[in-house]
Amino acid sequence: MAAVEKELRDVAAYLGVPCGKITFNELVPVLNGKIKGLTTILKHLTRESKNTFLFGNNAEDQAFIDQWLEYRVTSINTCSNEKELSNRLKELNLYLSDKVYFVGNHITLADVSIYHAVHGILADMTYSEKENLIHLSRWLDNIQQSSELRQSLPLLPFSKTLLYH
Amino acid sequence: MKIISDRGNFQSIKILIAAKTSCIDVKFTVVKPNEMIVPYLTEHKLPILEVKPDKYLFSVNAAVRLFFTSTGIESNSVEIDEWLEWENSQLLPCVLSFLFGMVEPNTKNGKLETALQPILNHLNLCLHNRKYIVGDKLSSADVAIFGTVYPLMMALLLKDFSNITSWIQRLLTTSAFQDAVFLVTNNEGPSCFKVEKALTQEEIDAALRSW
Repeated sequence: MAAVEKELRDVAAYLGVPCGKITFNELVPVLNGKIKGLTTILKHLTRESKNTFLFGNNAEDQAFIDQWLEYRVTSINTCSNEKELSNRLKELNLYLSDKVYFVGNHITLADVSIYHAVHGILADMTYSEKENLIHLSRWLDNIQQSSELRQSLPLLPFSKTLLYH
Repeated sequence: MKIISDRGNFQSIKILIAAKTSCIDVKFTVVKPNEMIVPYLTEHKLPILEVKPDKYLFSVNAAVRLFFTSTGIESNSVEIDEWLEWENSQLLPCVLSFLFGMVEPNTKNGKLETALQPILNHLNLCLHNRKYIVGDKLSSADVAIFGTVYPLMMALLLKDFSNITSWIQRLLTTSAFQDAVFLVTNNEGPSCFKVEKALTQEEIDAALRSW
């Protein structure tokens, strides 16, 4: 729960909006006692900030962004064992094999949310484990170059061979 | 656009309703339950909306919303976000455990029903004196939640939730809802979701994961 609260504060700072009070109803984060759910709060903060480019360029982009926001909450955050998590990472890696960003040709809320979801997982990996997820690693290394996005999260190291792959 | 689903998949009801409501023609293709459609997913997942060739939405709620937002039926709102997130992170896992639990001879239904109780209570309370879940018109929140609670009619589980049942009956008076239910249940209504064969724990786990 502490990690979720920190993430929401980091995202609010990235967006340049005040975060408000975060509480928890069981494991579900609640903003200011009324807005419930991680995805719902992330989208609300983005609307407040007027950074509408994070919602993509059209209804179709928005649908794909919604899909990845949902995937993060229902498929990544709920992993109960190593095997499931490893399958999710494989899926993200394969999906990103021909992409720079999750949706469209610029950063969106899907990138922001998944960055927060996988940062801690990749931080615990060895260079060679990260090389096995080469597309996911390349995507993250590109995203993390923005210090506004990173906020309190450390820059993750990747091997040079990976960077110049 | 094309809906790809296995036979009798109750989640495909949602996409069919959304397509019909927004007057968008879609093709409905039936495949085997274990067919892998999305190339980067490691487990089979159905239904899928093929938005363009090789461009797939595997999130049913995102597909529903695409029909509603691209045709201007609704715009993004925090209330709809919240209901859709509630549906897929709380309601759906609970309903699936219940539906799969029903066919396991050794599973005590009592426990799963207890888990469903507070979730259905929440919905029932919110529907008090309301025709729709958000505002005064149909939104993707109604469609997403209808598709997931509809199979519970079969278990007579909704009989004590009068606001939910009257909301369902009211939605079923429109042709978009009738046609979708007719197509997916093969005109059998909610009883078609009763699985005859007992599933193994492995199959249940796999099915739950794929959601």
